[in-house]
Formats: sequence, C-alpha cells, structure tokens
Amino acid sequence: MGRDKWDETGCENETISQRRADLPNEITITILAKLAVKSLLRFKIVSKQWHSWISHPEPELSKQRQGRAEAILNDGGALESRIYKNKYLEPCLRLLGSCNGLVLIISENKHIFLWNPATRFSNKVIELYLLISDEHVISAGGLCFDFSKNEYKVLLYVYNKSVYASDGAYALVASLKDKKWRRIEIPYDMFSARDGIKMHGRLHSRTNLEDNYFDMHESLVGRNRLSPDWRSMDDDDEPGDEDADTKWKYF
Amino acid sequence: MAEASSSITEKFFLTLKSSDGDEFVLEESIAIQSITIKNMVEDGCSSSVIPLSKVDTETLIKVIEYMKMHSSTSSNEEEIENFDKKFVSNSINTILNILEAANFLDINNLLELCAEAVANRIKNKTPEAVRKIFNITSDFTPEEEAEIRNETPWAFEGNLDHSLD
Repeated sequence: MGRDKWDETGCENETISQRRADLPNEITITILAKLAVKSLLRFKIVSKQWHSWISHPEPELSKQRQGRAEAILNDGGALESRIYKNKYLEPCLRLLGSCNGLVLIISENKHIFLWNPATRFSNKVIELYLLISDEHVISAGGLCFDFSKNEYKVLLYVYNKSVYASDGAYALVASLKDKKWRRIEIPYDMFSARDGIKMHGRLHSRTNLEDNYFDMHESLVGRNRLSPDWRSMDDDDEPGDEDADTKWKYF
Repeated sequence: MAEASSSITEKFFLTLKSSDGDEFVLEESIAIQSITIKNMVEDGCSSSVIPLSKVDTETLIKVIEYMKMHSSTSSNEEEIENFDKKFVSNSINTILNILEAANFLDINNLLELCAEAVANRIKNKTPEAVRKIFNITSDFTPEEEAEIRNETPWAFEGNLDHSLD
C-alpha cells in the first residue's frame, strides 16, 4: 500500500534527514506554534516530547500561539485533564458564555462544563447542585479570565422564583482553580439579567428593567471581594454621559 | 570638495565562510540583517573572515540570496513577495536547514517565513511522515498511541498526506 511508497522516499531522504535530529527545540516550537489545532492534535503521537509540548505548552509556545485557539492549553492547570466524553452531556444544555475560545455550558442537573469547540473536548469543571434548590433559577451567567491570578472564573446570576422568597437575587462566582463558590449580593434587580457580554476583556451584564450594563469584572477579579464594584452605566458621572454614544467610552 | 566626497558612500564588505570552507563576500549593509553578524561588526570582530561553522555552503547561498533581495532598495513589494513564494518552494529539508541557519544568524523575517512554510507543508501530513521529516523515532507503545488517537479520532480523519516533502 502507501507504506511502501513512503519507505522508499524515506530511504532517499535518510542521509539528509539524519542531521535533523539536532534541530533545536526552539525551532520545532516555533513551527508548532503556527499549526492549527487539528494538526497539533494529530502530531501528539509523533513523540513524547511533542506530546508534552502540545498538551502542556511551554510558555513560549503559548505565547506564540496567543489568540490562536488557546485550545490545547490546559488553562494553567485549572481544568481537569480528564475528558468526559458526553458522559454528562444531557439533552438540556445551556450556553452561558465564552472566553478565549472556551464555551461555558450548564446542564440541567447543574453540572458545569467547559467545551472547547476547536479540540471538541469538554471538561466538567464544577458542580452546582448542592448549592441551589429547585426554587432557584439561573437567569444568566458568564465566563472570564482573571489575568492577575491566571485562572478562569464562572459567574451565575441566581434568583428565587418563589414569590414568598426572602432571598432575592444574588450572584455566584467560582474560580475554576479552587472550585469554591462564593456568593455576592447584588444591589440591582437581576431577575431579568441577560447573559454577560464581554467588552475589552471585561464581563458586563444587562438588566431589562433599567437597560443598564454592569461592569461585572471588578467583582470577579477585583481586589475587594466582599464589596464588589457594581457599577451601572448610568451611575457613571463622566462628562457627556447623557449621550448614548459616549456611554460606551466608559469601557 | 566636502560635498563631493560625502556623495560617495563608502561600502564595507564582509567575508562569510561556510562550514564547507567556501567564502562569500557580502556588503556589510546587507549582512547586518543578521543580528548575530551585526553584533560581531559592532564588537569589531568582523575585520577578517566570519566563520559560520553551522551553515553549509548550499544553505548559506540561499540565505545570502534572501538577504540581498530583502535589503535591496530597488526591489519592490511585489518582487519580494514573488521571491518569498518561490523561496519557500524549496524542499522541506532545505527549508529546515535554512530555518536552522536563520535561527543561528538571528534573521527574524527569514525565521518566520520558513517556520510558516514548514507548518504549511506538514499541516496535513500523517504523524509517520512528520516523524521521518524531523527524524524522530516514536517512543510511544502502540497502546499509548491508540489511546491518544482515540481522544480525537477526527484529527486523524480525512485525506492525509504521506509524502515527505
């Protein structure tokens, strides 16, 4: 079959390729950095060295690939490397947000996944079911990357759908590194919160009622964890704020 | 008088010696696209022959060709583009040799061009072909290999290229 053909060609090239053994690592890494995800996944089996460069990229490879499907990155160890092959994926899935090419998904039974469309891997990253009862509804969510701590953070807006509930709306935030949820009270009506949008790397959320956007980023990655910096667009007293167009300069 | 003499720009020449012992005389202004050579010139170690023990004659000729084209003020963008296109159509082994030389000589443009070219050439190849091109012996057991394949079977699908060039 084809095999004979490449063996033949292989022999022809043997004397030249003999010198290839000492190709400096930095050159190989520079080449790998220019490949698309599909090729990289295939080249994992070339050797253990290539496998390790591709699966746990050296800072150099990640740096060179910046922006190009962060894909193979293991998120600085934040994600479990185990692959859950559709085991938990159920019919009722919701997309909550995305960041760096990773998509945040929540299943009906409150398992939260990150899905990488480029590698088609999904990892269950955190669970929620013990934390909120059936009375609680997730109105929106988001995913963002905290550069200062080098970790991903998940945000969920939760409200109690029972009219008798005393606990109104709140947000749940967890780092995918320590996987601990923490609750943040929200001084705004978030019942109608819509999924976060990202502008300039900052996560924002919108409520219908006031048509305000909140800079969620500060509360996720801000220094002061207890009193997150909730800011409404309208609270911003920058000059020219009344002009709708200039509002966006806020970001 | 002073005006007349300043209009004659004095050209400096350097001699580069390949690992095969062949010598090439090159204008300094062209050669200093290589940061390695530039540093040698600035440190004053370029008065005699510059030995490039890691670059063979065939590769050095290509590198000089590239530097000449890219430093010439007479070559326009289109010419350079066409030159680059033709340049990367060399055999993959030649490009890898040039890549190594570009890395050693620290010529960033050339390094980028060749790395991009190699990536382009190998992107649809089988892992077996890539191993041969890079002269790598697999250190995975067949079982380990199968396991990795099973993680992303789709990455191994399609019309893969078995050729070594």
